[in-house]
Amino acid sequence: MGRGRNMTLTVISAGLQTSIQGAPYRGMRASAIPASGAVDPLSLALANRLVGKASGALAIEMTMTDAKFRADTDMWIAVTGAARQLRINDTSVPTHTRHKVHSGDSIAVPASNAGVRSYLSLSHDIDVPQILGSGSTCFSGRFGGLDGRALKNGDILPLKTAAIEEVQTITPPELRPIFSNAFLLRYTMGPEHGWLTHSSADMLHTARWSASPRMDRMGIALGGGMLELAKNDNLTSGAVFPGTIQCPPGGQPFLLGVDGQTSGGYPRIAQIIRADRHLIGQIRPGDNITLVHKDAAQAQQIYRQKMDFWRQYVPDIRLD
Amino acid sequence: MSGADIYHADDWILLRGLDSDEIARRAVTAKLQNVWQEIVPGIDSLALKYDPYALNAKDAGEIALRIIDGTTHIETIAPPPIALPICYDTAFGPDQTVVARHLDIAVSDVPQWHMAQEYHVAMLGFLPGFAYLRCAANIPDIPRLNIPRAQVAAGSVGLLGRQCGLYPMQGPGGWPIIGRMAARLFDIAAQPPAALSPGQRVMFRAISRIEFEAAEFGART
Repeated sequence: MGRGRNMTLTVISAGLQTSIQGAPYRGMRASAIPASGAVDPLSLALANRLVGKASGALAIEMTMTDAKFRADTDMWIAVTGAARQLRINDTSVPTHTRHKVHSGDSIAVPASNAGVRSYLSLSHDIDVPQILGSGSTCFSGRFGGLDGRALKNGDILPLKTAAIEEVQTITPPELRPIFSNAFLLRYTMGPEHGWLTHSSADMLHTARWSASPRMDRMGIALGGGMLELAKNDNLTSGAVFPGTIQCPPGGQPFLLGVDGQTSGGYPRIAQIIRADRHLIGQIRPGDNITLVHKDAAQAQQIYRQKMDFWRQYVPDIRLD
Repeated sequence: MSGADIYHADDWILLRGLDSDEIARRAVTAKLQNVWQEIVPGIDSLALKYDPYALNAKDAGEIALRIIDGTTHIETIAPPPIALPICYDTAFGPDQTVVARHLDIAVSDVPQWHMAQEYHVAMLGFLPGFAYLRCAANIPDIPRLNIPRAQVAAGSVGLLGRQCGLYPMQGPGGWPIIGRMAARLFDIAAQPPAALSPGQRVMFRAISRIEFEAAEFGART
């Protein structure tokens, strides 16, 4: 086995869906390019901080199951997100901590029982083309990341040395997000919220919603209740965003994620507020979801407070 | 337009009930305002996304109102009209029979009929670079296929009546397909990657199967 000083990272086991993700594509929705990028940009930023990278730098996003890699060169790594620990060779080591790996070392990120996505950041840059200010994998457009696709066993990721900025060796414990199996998401009314019957409008914030198994980076079908539309006109296609909740005629609400299409023709009944959208991608099938209504001004206040808080630790963090 | 219909989320605004000229004009005005993170035309709406850290909802609404009120006067710089080469060979347009029946014309007249319509790009959506065209004439609705296709070839042209959909890449789809273009509508290496943009006029020019294959071959080499 080649144990040379290749500037690469080898994918031993890719798991359910592992892909190269960083900052979203911004300003491209008029061309129907979805946001893409890390579903949990906060966890991404925390991992990148530990290896001295910009908060939106490309990293490896893993989904639910075990994933395993081999370092083919010496570098620093950090793992954040759903995983509660990782293994370097056969040693269990903590997440939210910078670790040195040597050429030939294996890095295994196990499945967790809460949260969905974990992030592996490297002190080297993942050497894939920069596209439209990002380089994140866009699945529907088949571009970005490694050939616009999920990583497969045996893939070899080219790396290059990076200019490392100030490095933190650990994320302060009080700043580490902890995922449970219950999520509280705040929303503003969507453009067609008024199309819901009165009782369905109430149900939106009183029902115990749950995440159905029908979910991926594009979004999550919500279980726990069927909504009714009082108005059933044909809606012309218009903009939707990550965090938009649509209500198809069948009544099962669908919450859009970062890979969601840029336009839709179903009533947009709610919009998860900007401050809470980074949580959407950590919701597991079966998790409880409580929706809480806020008006636009309240939602903006919540967002500003959240940004003020996180910018003390990650000055360049962006939540879209 | 007065009596502006504006929707507010916490970081985006939706201007509703606009016709296609108004959308094109307002999208240009919005671009010049330099405060919007996304400017997204819909069929009869325009969405504007912003950073709520930099702009509060009230100010964002006032800036958006200036677009509606037209206090900023801009001559719309429409993107140049484009002629797309299309092959109407029935192998590429398997649903011409269905479409002809709905339009009450002969199948052999479908190409001439289609080329005679005046189209403009209403919006992009669904897939990167996928263009929704609207035609000027009032055409009866053509329903989607009962069973959507798992794969529709890149370059396929679908027709739902007034709406004509252009597939930039292979993907699933339920639109009746009438032909295939020898044109690349989305190329991530191009600037911009989407060949078409909202407001643009589109014409179709028929090419033979041989011309189509030559163009495909040329694109690959």
